[in-house]
Amino acid sequence: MTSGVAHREAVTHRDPSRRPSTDLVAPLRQRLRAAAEVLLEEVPPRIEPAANDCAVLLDAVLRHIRLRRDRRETWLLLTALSASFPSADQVADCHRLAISVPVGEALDWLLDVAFHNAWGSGSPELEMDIVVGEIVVDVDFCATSDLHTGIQRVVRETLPRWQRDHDFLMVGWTESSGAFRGLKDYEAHRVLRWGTPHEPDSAPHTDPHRLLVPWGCAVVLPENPEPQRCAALAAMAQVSGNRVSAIGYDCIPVVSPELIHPGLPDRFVRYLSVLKHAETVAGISVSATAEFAGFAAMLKSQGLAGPRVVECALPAEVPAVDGPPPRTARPRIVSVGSFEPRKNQLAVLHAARRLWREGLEFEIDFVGGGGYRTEFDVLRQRLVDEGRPIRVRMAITDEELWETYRSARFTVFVSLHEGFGLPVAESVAFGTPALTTSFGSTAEIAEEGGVLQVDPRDDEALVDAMRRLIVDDALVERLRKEALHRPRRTWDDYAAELWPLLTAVPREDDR
Amino acid sequence: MRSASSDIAKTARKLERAHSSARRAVSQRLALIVGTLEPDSRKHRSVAELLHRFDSLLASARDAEVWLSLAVLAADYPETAQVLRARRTIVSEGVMEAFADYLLPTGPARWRGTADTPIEVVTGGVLVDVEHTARTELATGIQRVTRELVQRWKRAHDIQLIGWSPGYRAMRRLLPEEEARALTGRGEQAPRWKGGPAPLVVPWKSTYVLPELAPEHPRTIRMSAMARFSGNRMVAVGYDCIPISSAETADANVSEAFTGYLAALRYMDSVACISRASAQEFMGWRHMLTAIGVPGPDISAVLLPAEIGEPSEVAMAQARDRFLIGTLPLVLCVGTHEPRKNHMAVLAAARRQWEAGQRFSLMFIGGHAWASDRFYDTVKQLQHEGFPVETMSSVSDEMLWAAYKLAHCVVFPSLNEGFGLPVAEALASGTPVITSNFGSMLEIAEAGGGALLVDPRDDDSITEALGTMLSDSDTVQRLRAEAASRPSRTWDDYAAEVWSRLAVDAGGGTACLREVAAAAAQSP
Repeated sequence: MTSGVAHREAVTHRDPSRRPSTDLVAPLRQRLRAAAEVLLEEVPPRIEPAANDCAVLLDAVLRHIRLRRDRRETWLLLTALSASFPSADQVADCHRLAISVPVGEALDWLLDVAFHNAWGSGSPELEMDIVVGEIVVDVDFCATSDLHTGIQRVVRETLPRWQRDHDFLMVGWTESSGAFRGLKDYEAHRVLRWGTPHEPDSAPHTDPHRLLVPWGCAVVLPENPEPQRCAALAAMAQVSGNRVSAIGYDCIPVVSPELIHPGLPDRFVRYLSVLKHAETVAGISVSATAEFAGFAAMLKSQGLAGPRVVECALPAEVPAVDGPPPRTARPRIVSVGSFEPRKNQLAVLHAARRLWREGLEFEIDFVGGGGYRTEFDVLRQRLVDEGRPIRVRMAITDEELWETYRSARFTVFVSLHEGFGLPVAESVAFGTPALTTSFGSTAEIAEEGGVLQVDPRDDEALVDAMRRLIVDDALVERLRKEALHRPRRTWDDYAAELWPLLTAVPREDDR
Repeated sequence: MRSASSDIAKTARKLERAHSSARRAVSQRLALIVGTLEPDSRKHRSVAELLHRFDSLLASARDAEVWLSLAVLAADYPETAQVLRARRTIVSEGVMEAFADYLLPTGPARWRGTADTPIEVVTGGVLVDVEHTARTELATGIQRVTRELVQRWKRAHDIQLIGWSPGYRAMRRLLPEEEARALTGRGEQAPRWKGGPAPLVVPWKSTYVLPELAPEHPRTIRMSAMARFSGNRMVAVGYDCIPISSAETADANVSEAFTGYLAALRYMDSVACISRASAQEFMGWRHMLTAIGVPGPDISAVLLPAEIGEPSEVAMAQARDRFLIGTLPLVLCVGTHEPRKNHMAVLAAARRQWEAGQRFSLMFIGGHAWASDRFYDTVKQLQHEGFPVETMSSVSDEMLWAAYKLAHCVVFPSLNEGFGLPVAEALASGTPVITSNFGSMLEIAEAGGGALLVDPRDDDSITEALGTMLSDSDTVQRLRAEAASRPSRTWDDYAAEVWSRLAVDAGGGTACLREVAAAAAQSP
């Protein structure tokens, strides 16, 4: 085994891709000093050269850990050494050695692991800020991507409201996915002021060129993190002393793998390995909450309490619109949702075909953002060729979507698995009756009125329900009235209710 | 809608023009379907007559009959989307159109060379799926349980062991060699089925039992459709949900394959889990199903037994040579070295006890596994420092029994187990155990005592228990006495309980009938 000094030299000189002129000792010294300041009563005085300072600091922190035997401190030391968050196994191994073998040997092991991590996923050229007892929100995806569907909409509606009302820090991840970092100005803008022109002079939220290490913090995950970051997040939840909480959207990859792309279940279970040590998961519906509660219930068999799982239902806020709904020549049915088997549009198309053959007059609009080609497209083409009034639109503006909702006699959304079922909530928010799935999150939305429910796996029931909504004016009128009298839930409501659920910071004497 | 009889006439005419082997296969398979759905009807009919009967039997598009017809006609169990498509096409365009691809062998490549494949419909039988167990001589936990079950069920009940066709497209009969291997773990290398492909087996009003784990995607998607549509009773033995609940300990693709297996269990009738801890995991999964409006199977717990054999004097002598170092007490740890087994914590606790002056040897019996490098590195380090620790990758059953007997104690602080077999086996040998204070390990310990319970995530806790085992002779004696007086539980008990808990008999009820359409067996 090589000595600690040799490792340090390796870190300094070996990686040609990291500009050999970059000084890695100075940032290492800064990080160790930052850790020492948090951990030690008395921080050793600064000495030169920097490498000697590093050695003295490392020795002092290690001796402190041997005395205190607190695993959280080993987590922080490994983070500072390698400029990346360690896995729980690494913390456990290093901690065992730190407290059991002679100091010199323990240093060797520690530097070995730290070097491995620095080389693999670390950012050893960066300094770090340790934030103590704060609320840290990981918004990496929304900060770095222009995608704006389900999860991103929730984050970009919620975070600006939190920013208005509370104090917290937003973070992203380093390029090598090793640790949190601050956000660039335009990244913060993407999260907090989506859809507005970027003003370059607005002050940056946090420093993108510094690592941000939470210590005794509440760490909030409003997005599903990338799988390669999950081992670090699981360790953060399990051994760092931080509390990790998350929004729980759904467990579709585990429960309904046949309805989604291959590869997603393996990614998703990495995320579950974070949640198993989490503090709180806030499900976006009763149904999503039941899914995460089911997962939490599994954990008793491995002696874990699992996260507290609570419900905080998403809102469906739609703009106030003036004027009567657009009129169509014949009754229009609207079906909103991406084109994939999970949304079950094929069943709707089959039902429509039978109703047209019965002689009913209606048209059907399918609206969806993306998806992929399936049996649905084959049947749709056949029916279009037969002259049936079917329209499919992929990329439409919000305004067009709202007009489409309002133009419908009713909407139909008979998905086989949803975390929330936004198209149902939006439809009734515009006063348009909806026909939807009789279980899960869509059934919950139905409870407040304006909605007819059907078993989406029962073709006959679907045909019957669609027929009723096409021919029965009184039924549609009653549902329309119910829809207009539903209680309104806003993003303000959601953001305000969610905040206290996810942001409980560990008590000071528990840090 | 088109007229059914003109469609039938058209189909019959096209069939007349088809190649003779294809025509024969279609008419035999139609006869098999009609004969299965109408067991009392007369046997011999023309193709046109068969098509008429088939058309009227399938016209109401009932799931089970659609599933049966697709499975038999295609010699390939349908996936969910195929059943839905056929069901919908029957309603909108008629039976002939729905099955056109299967009835007209000149159509799309539905046949894949299966025209000669004999097909057998088993009505009112019990089919036990031993696909893996029949192909391997390995005896991992799951294969061990499967063999013990099917040996006993085969003696006590009328069951048929089955496997899957190449590519997992349908269930098939086993070769005698495969059947022997499924039952005993031994069998010659399987030759091909004599005179052509092995007969496919299609269950009807039968019970399907899955005593092993099924991870193959083409197999699980077909099992899923069979469970949802076929009307057969479907039951399984559940081991654990570790690929979901401890995914961080699972290798790539294992979790994904496991979600496919769970999707197949979703529509099954009953799952008998190997412990309450295992049942707790499956019940957690079933709770998740509320999101998709599926009630899920009944879930029950039938605790596995631990029967161990008596090692011979010769084996004991050999084992003394191999496992004991002088008069040092032997601390034994059995299991693969994957992170979930927590062997790093065992090494840490042992180091601390050695450094505190305790004298004992530590022996690991278990193979390499995913991410076991750190374990081996640490063992080397300890050996380098002169501590008496050894690893052995595998031993015979008899040597393992001898090792249990020779051990001063067994240490097994795993982080998650469907059933902690080494705990049960050590206790059945009368040897005390250190094990985790939760899950199946706690259950086994509670069923009669003999164990010190620890928090496996706390090295201090394991270290302390090891210290007690090595220095507190009163406690060790008490634990030995408890272990020796534990109630014995046998494989006979287990096999009978699983059979009745899964209500295996409830699927069929009538005597098992086998109807065969065996194209290859008949001369033209």
